[in-house]
Amino acid sequence: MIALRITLVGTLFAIALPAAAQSPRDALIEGLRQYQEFEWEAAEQNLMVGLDPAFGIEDVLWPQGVWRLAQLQIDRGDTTVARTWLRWAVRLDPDLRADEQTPSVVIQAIEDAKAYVRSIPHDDAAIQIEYRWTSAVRTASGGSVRIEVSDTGDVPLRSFGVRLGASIFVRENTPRDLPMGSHRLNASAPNFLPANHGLEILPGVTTIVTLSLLPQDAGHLAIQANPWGEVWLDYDLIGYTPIIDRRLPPGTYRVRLARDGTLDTDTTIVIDPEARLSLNFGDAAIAPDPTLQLAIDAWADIEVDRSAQLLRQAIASLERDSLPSAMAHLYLARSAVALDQIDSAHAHMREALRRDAFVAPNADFNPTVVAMFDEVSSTTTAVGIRTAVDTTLDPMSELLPVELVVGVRGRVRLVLERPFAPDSTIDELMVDSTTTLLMSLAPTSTSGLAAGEYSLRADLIGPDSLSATIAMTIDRLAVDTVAHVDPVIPEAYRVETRQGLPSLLTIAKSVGYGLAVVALPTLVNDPDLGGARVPAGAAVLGVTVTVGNLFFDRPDLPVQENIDYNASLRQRVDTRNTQIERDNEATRQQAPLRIRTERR
Amino acid sequence: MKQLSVVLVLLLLPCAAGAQEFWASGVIANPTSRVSLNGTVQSTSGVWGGLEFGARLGRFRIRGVGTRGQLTPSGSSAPLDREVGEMGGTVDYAVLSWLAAEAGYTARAFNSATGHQRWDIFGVGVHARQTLGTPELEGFARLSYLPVVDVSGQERPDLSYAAETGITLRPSNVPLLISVSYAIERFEFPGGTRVEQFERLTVSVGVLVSRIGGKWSLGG
Repeated sequence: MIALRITLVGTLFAIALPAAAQSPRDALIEGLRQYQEFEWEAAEQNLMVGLDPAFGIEDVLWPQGVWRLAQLQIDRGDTTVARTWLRWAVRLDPDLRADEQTPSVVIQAIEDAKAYVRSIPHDDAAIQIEYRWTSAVRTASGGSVRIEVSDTGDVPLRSFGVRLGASIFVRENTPRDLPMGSHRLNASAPNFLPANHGLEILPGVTTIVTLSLLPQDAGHLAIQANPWGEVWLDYDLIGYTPIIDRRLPPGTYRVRLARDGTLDTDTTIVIDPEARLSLNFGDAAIAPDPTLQLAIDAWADIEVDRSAQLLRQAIASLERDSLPSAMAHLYLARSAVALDQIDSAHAHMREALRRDAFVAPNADFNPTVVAMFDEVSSTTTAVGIRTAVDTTLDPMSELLPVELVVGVRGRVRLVLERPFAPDSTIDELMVDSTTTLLMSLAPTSTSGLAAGEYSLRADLIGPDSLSATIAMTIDRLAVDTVAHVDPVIPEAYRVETRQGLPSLLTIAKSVGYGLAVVALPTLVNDPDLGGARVPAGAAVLGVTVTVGNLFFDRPDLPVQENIDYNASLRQRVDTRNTQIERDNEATRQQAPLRIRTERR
Repeated sequence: MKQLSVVLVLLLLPCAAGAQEFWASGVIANPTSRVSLNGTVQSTSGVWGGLEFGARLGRFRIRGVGTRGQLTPSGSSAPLDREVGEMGGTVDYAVLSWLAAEAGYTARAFNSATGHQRWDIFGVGVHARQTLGTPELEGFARLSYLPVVDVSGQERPDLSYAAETGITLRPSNVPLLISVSYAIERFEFPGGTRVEQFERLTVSVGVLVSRIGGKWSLGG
């Protein structure tokens, strides 16, 4: 019997020895390997061991362990278990994100977990929670919770009431076993402010709750700074500005405002009972649009609600799809973050992106908001395009920078539209978040784009296809052209005809006209009175008419030599002017372009 | 008379809408008057000066002339010096591009130491014109029958007719109108004892203005 016992103990020791020697990281690595090799059961156990936060959630393997564990449990149909693990993981790492290979059902479960955690009040200053792994992680079905109390002053420990959910009461320093699941913890005591926090009971894990409840007469501390800063309270980092309403027991504290590891301000404050103390470092920022300045001023005065109200009013008066309108939504998101309204902050960030995909937090936004925006941006379908509002460039040697931005990574096609002409695709490329594309405005090697109205469209290709368009007006700038050669002066031309001898018909007509001129007066004339048969005046006129007609009615004969000479003169000028016109047109085609753009 | 005015206005109205030309010229002439009375010929001649105004309104042409001068005897048996004044006008209507029908009236007055004599002459005729090798030079000839000639203090001639020939120069580069003409009138009085002939060589230089499409311009 004794030998049997020794054998059994030896066997158990032999089994337990390698397990005891295995570190959480080793278990995590082993669990991930087993997952790859379809050893689901062993993988789940090793992953549960490997997720011990004492090992460190910063390790890149830790989130992978979370996804895979949740996936195993969901695949097995144990959704409730998976949900509990994910809530616990999100509580430790609010930015937890799955990779692209993770099934959508797991991604959705992570998002649900985040939503749940955000929905439960968490008085981090009054309730601290620690999860301590035990050796029973692999086998246990439930865990335990233990309450510890600090900073109680004269209040006896037994005066504290700690409730989990509606009906589970826990006494301090006494571990209580509970089934796996999420709980809402409520702690209260006479003359102390009640506090709430969510927690998870995990199999084989002891959840240690440390209470530091605030006294009933705790004061209020608000801190605002421009630019933003890290706030240290008695050497503890309590967050980024703004601190909207931090409850503190009456007393003296050291407040340090720092940024990027450098000390900006170090001051001592006194919190009086139930009093409110506001610290404001720096003036209000300059708003990106005058319409928003009042809201920014209210924000600087830590009047968050009033700032939000003013922003909503400003949004109503701003053009919908404009950068100021998008910025207003981003400011609203910042207010929501300050008030711990994370869902609302996400909604405002998405709306901001829809209004202008180029919207981005500026230097006024603290890292918490910036990180949240980056996360929301990478999961929101949006596309934007922009280029210089008014610029000039030489189309033959310069390129127009065009900025593209997307929310979710995707393929973007850039299309140039022109009236009464087929569209032309400029480029198609994969855009991670933003990129700048250099666009040629010279469709041929000898000319720039013709002046006119164009549209530049960015199409996001995919199931959630979207487009963003800017109107582009192109004008050709005036360029120096060569003046045309003056036409040949008339004096330079040679006479092209000479008059020949009168024809017989002309001679006959001339004589006839002359005779007619003479004949009529002669008919009337009485020679006895006038002394001559033909009046002298009539004779003179008759001769004049005859000679005049003979002289003027001569045919024009061409002088070919002079005609050729004149033609060569004209051709020389025409040829030169044609060449000048051709050169001028080429110069105009290559003229610098003025490009004005307007968002559509 | 009233009906005639109405007819004239109705005829001229359409002309006002087309091309119009107006001219004013200075006239200098060398008139010669010859009278044969019972076989004796008396001749006087001199120099006249005057003005001529004219207008061409479509197919119509209206012309008015006023001259005044002196006639001096050219022989020993000649009468006394006479002062002569003449006013006249013609209207012609171009029936063809080169041929026009014409009507005219001339009042001519002689004044000498022995008395005053006035001639009122109405005539109708034809007027032909022809360019001479260039549009700037035009020759013309007129032949008229003078059915009504009234001479104060004297019986009327029973046959009167006239002819005129000449040339007109309208240089294209200057708005001038230059004309040289020779005119002759012959009056045969009853009884065959008295014949009078009035000749004149005239030079006129004038200014031409035209109105085409409502716009005035110098020259033709």
